[in-house]
Amino acid sequence: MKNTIRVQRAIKNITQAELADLVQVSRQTINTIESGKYVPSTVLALKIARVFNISVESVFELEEGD
Amino acid sequence: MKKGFLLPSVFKPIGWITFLVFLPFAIACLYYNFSIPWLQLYYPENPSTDDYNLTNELAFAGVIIGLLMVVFARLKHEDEFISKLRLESLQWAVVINYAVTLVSLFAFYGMTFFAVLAYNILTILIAFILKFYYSMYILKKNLAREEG
Repeated sequence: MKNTIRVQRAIKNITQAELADLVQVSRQTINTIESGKYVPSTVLALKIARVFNISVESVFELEEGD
Repeated sequence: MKKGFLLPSVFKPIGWITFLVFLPFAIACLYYNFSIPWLQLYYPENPSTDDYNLTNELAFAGVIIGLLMVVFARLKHEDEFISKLRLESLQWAVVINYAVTLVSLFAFYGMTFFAVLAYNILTILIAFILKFYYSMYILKKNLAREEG
């Protein structure tokens, strides 16, 4: 699964730590989601999308092989 | 997030202290025949084979409960990724535990085997602690590396 969190963070100009605080998870979790090592739960994905004020599909995208 | 069945994080130091307090007791009971006289349930007919003194049971129970507390204590900041790490470490610990059991089955026989089997009770807890906290360490290291 691909995600555009890094791009969205740059647009909104926040760090991983700040995003982590906004969605109430640890910075490690945001880091592993961004690097594609971990697929977040639906609730977390919705929370992340809400921080950036965009839809979930704009942040997370299914890949071939998912 | 639903509350899991993890203990509050204060149980981690309590668990380690309990473990470290009862470990010398257990070693003393096992290798030095240490026993507390008033824990004797009753005096058996055959003292060499029947042991009705509760000291060694208490010592072993203390060791087990100490490690259990460390295993089930939550971290200061639990979140879903750490829950996943916890589950994976637990699965890994179960496999390692039975690998050790199977190897012991063929490596030790007779009374030695039963002694090894007694130690095997702790293998799953120790394997989990090692795997889980090692994963956390690697995670923090990667994070620090990415930051810098």
